[in-house]
Amino acid sequence: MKIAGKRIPKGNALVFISFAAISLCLIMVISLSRQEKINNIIRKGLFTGHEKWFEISECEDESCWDRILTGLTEKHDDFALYVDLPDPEISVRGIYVSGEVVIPPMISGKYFDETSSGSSKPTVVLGKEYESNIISRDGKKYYDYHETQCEVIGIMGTQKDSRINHMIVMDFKNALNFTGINTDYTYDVKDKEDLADVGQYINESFQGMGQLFMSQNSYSGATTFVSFLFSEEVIMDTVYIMMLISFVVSTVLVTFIWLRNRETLFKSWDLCGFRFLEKVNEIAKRYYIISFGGFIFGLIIILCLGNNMDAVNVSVIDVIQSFAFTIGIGTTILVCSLIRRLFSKI
Amino acid sequence: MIEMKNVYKSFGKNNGRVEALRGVNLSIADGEMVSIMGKSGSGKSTLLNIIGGMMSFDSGEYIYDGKSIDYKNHKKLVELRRNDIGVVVQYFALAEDLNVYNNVALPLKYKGYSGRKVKKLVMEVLEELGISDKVKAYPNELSGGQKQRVAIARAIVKQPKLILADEPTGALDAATGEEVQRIFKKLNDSGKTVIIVTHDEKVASICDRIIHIKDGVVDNEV
Ligand SMILES: Nc1ncnc2c1ncn2[C@@H]1O[C@H](COP(=O)(O)OP(=O)(O)OP(=O)(O)O)[C@@H](O)[C@H]1O
Ligand SMILES: [Mg+2]
Repeated sequence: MKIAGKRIPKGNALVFISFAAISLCLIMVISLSRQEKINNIIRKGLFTGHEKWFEISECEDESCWDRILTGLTEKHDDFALYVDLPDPEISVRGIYVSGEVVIPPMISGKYFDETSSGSSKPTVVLGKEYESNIISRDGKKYYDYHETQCEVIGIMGTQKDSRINHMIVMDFKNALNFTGINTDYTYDVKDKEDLADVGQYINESFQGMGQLFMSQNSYSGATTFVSFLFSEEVIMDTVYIMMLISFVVSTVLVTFIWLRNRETLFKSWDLCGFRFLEKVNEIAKRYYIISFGGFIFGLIIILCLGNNMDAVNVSVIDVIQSFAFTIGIGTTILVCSLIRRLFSKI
Repeated sequence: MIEMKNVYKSFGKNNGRVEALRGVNLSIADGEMVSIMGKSGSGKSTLLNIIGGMMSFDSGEYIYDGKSIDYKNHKKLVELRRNDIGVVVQYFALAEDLNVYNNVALPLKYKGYSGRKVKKLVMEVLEELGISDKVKAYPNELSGGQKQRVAIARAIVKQPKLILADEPTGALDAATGEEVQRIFKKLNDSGKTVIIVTHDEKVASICDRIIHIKDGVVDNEV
């Protein structure tokens, strides 16, 4: 093939097209998969999906949660306790979290961890929609919730409008000031297996202090291996990994084909006494311009698609990840084969 | 200029082991034109590759220009090819992606010459070899004789002291073969040392001397 009298060497078109196609698909898969994880969190309302609800009544010891949560934190990792505030306008939720359960997509700042959710200082993580209500004072940000000044430690939300943009999460103690101890709670765990144990601990802790009613639905019994294998998440993850593998393999193949087509060039360099770094330079010039061009071409297409399609929403991280998977792997192969050439007998 | 003492070279390991050279002794003086002859598989290309610094060897000594070549040091071999020796291999080995001009300019690429100097040197050799009208052509658009001349041009453009050629007339008809033969004679007349591996008696006859190779050793009985 010739363009304007210049020969386009064999394999270049292949590298270009395949890098364009691979980067296009890869960026799409990576960003869709990230998107899907976020959508899942939003759909389940910041819960894991196996959370459990309970109600406390006739309890008079207002500070009993301090004791119980300390004990629970010692015994279990990765659980969270929530309480919903009776607010007719905004969805406001108190949280105590130990370890990590569900972290919403953050726009800035941090989400609650054990220290911030267990402190007695009023703190909030705001949904994006309430960002404009923030008051700055002494270099810190505050949000006024019913005359309580809460320090804002983070802003959560998604680019497109979603439920969490309209939510406020508050530290547990502060939230209890609004609800009182006799109210509805939800507890959640990262590992489904811990659900019963955590529930039992809470149940036992309230013996003799008041009435506790816990819902019986939700999670029942242990998961079998088969049901685990066919669970939504495992299938999603498997498909994702398979796709990554196939993209990696095609990058490898295309790079090898490209190298094959350049045997006469390598031989010529050897004959002319090119030094190692000169060879690296020559290859880089040829391979990178084309593969990088292909990558950018794919990226441009996906960005155009993203503008017109709600489902595709590319972030910088997605691009960097797919860049590492395509050009990163191509580079590794090139360098390895060059080093092999250098050390093999000529 | 070139001296070899008891040079051994084998390929492969164990059962698949082939001893291509089994103790080669020879010496070639500055400005000589020598042909290497012998049956197919006798080790001629292997010998030429070693002389040209394109292949290392197992044992023995190779003295080039009074200096013993460290054949285990690939960097040194690269420098030898880069500066002193021009090689024309058996099947031309022209880069398919590059046109005639860029193929011939390849050895000058990292010499730090100006673009004008490179152009001058390249055009000079192309004219000398009568292929200056093909500068923009790609190797697959050339005839065998033209390819051979491009390969020679690439070997001599950096003005090496030593020129090696493996079967330079093997793929050519008699008339073109003779032309190529004259080119080598002219190079030798201009003071360069020339070593040609050949089956062609005619080519051998214009050389000062013939070195016969038989089963990996120099055969002095012919
Ligand atoms: N890279 C290699 N790997 C293994 N064996 C090799 C290699 N190169 C050459 N040989 C073997 O070394 C011996 C000498 O090969 P060489 O190419 O030097 O022969 P030649 O005299 O040039 O033959 P021809 O006239 O056919 O070109 C042969 O038996 C060949 O099979
Ligand atoms: Mg040969």
